[in-house]
Amino acid sequence: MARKFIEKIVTANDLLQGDVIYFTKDNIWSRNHQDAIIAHTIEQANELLEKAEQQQDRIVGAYLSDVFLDEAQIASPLHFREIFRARGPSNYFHGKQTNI
Amino acid sequence: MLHKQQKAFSNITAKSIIVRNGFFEKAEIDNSKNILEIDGNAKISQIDLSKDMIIIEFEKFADGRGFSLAKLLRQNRFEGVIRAKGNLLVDQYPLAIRCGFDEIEISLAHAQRQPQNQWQEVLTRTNNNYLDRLMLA
Amino acid sequence: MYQYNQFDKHFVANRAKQFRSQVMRRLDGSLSEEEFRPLRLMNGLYLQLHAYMLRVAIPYGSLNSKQMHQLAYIANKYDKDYAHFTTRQNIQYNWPKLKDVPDILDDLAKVDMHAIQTSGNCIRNVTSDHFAGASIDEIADPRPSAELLRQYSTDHPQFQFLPRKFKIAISGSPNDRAVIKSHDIGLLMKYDESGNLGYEIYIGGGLGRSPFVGKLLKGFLPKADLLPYIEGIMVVYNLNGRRDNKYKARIKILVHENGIEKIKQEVEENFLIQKQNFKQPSDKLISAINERFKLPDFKQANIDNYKIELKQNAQFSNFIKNNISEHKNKDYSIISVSLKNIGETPGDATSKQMQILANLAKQYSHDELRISHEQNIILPHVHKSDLPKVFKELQKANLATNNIGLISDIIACPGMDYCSLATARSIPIAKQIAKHFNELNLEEEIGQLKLKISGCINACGHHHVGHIGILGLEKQGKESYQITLGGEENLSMNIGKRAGPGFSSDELLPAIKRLIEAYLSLRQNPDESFLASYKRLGEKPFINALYPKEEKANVA
Repeated sequence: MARKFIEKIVTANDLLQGDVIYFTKDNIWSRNHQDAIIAHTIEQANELLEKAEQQQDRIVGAYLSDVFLDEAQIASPLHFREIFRARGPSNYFHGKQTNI
Repeated sequence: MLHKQQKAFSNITAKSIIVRNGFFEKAEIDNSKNILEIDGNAKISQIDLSKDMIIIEFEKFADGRGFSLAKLLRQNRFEGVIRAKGNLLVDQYPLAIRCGFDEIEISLAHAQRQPQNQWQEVLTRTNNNYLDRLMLA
Repeated sequence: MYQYNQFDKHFVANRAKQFRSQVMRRLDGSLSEEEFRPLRLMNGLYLQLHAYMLRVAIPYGSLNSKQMHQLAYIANKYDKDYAHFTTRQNIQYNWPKLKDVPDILDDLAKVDMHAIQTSGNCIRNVTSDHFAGASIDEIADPRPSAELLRQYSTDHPQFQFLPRKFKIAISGSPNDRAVIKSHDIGLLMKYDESGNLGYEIYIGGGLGRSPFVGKLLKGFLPKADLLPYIEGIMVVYNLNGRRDNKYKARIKILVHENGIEKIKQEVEENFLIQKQNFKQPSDKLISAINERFKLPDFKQANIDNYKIELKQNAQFSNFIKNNISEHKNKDYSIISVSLKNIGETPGDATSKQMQILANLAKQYSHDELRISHEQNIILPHVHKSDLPKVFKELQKANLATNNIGLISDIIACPGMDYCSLATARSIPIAKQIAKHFNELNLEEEIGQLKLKISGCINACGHHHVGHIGILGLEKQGKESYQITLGGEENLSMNIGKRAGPGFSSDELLPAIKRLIEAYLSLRQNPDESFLASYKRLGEKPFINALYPKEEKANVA
């Protein structure tokens, strides 16, 4: 039995700033995962990743990250590593959490 | 005369460039030369040192075996030309020279991305290095 | 300590310029990320979870007050006003921007510092005894040899693209504080029977995925042969180390797969070639290096005030008991300043703390500081009459935590709070354990205990050699922690043994509590350390404490 596809978004780090960014629908990058464009199939996911990877002058290390969707179809990361990336370190109030 | 064990030279065409003294030159095969082509797996004891030229292939730029092979060739008194073949980075050029390489063969596409002026700029990095200073001071 | 000459200054400034050009070429597309990556790594620049990270070299852990001030200045100007001291005697900034890094390197070069070869598949910053040149038990100062190796390995043309990273450590004391047997090459300074100084050489040690204790490669190498011999090892490794699998690329695997005898033979053969070809550094150059490591002019002063303070001030005497080591000069002491303030991140210091330590070093420690692999800061030459004053200053700066060598003096890597390789967090675990035993006032009671935490199998937190080691992993989408027992550092290095299944982050502290309670009830007397009890009794009672019967039943 085929397993249910887990929705994905594309994330990377910003080349100049180094911080975590997410690929959005207009081929631009956002610092907020809630803006990310969501892939609902594996084909969509690969296509998104390929598109994102073309922007080598902007980003480093794009990859797909599993997400879950809330009722408003907004994506949040599933894996604890990605939750930390979306938030910042736990020992200081630094990183993305300062903007939330 | 080409060495029997060497790989086919068909991939050296106008699509590659030789970097020599910081200048780009077209890669041409000089059939009068007695050339041996080796890669990182070569064992120094099995290399015929009477060749005019030894080409050391770098499968990847990050595979640094060629640097030690070139140095060993020079330590074994090989006096012919040593060429690195592979898309080495500009920043590896001074290292290659310091190990005993004379020239580097890179692809045309690589040469377009890392143009001649960049190779010339890094040439000065062969001066003022720690190892020379330790051994000669 | 070593002072840069014009050559060094020129080299480091040039190297910063080169990095600026590399960044430009990355931005203009001349270099792809794949091509840029090894170049930025060999200049200390990583990309981590939330940001870039710049690792700055502190050669063999030694620096002066001016350099420490500059490190504080950089933390304040380009980062978040703090920095992290690492288990390899370096310092890391967690939040630099790529565009600022060339400026940071320029600022470092101004005080003779750099980030060269603090990462990448090259010979890394050579580490050494943090008490070098100060400790009473040292037979020879390892720093001149470490400095010679720094110069030799810096920008070595053959060895910038090795199969994998390469770490060398050197100790001048039989009480090896540099853990030399956990390095690719470990050097122990010793005298031969005729009284000549040289090195005992170990090879193929390492922690990480496949931990190995370094094996003896050469019983005695005369001092003058150091560079050609190291070159011999490096050539053998560069040509033969595995490049097909990065987890098998370290020299420890080459030694393991070929056997030490085969490697020894190849190294000796290559050493002969190198000896013929290698022009030795001139006596002038060697003595110029040695000159830089002369002992400071120790002062003479009455130490009665110190003796009185010891009797009258319990906090002071507790600090002295734990944080002081014996100096060559009987009127001097070595102070270990703990960066393990309870409840804070192991190894972190604020800019302000760095400045205070720099000032103390300038005024009271002959302008010297050291970073230990245990992530503490050392004031190596403090006259005993100055100890009360220094202690007071440390207290004011929240730097007088008297827990050196105790359970709360935890080594921990940055873990998944920062590191992109990590599989779990280590910092919160370290904080939690330290806080618990501190609150119960049990640290002294437990005594000497080395607890080390790594957030992944790469073992930057040295968990394999902790008396208690903790390894953070991922298990079914959650952080999980494996405990190892009986690891040991120093020349008797021993790899800790995995105790059993991992614990969730909630179960871990209770498990450590059970383990410590078992030790306290099992030890013969309060002087028997955790490790000694473990060695005497074997693992069984400790494993029973970690996995009590009823829990086993639940698991099953």
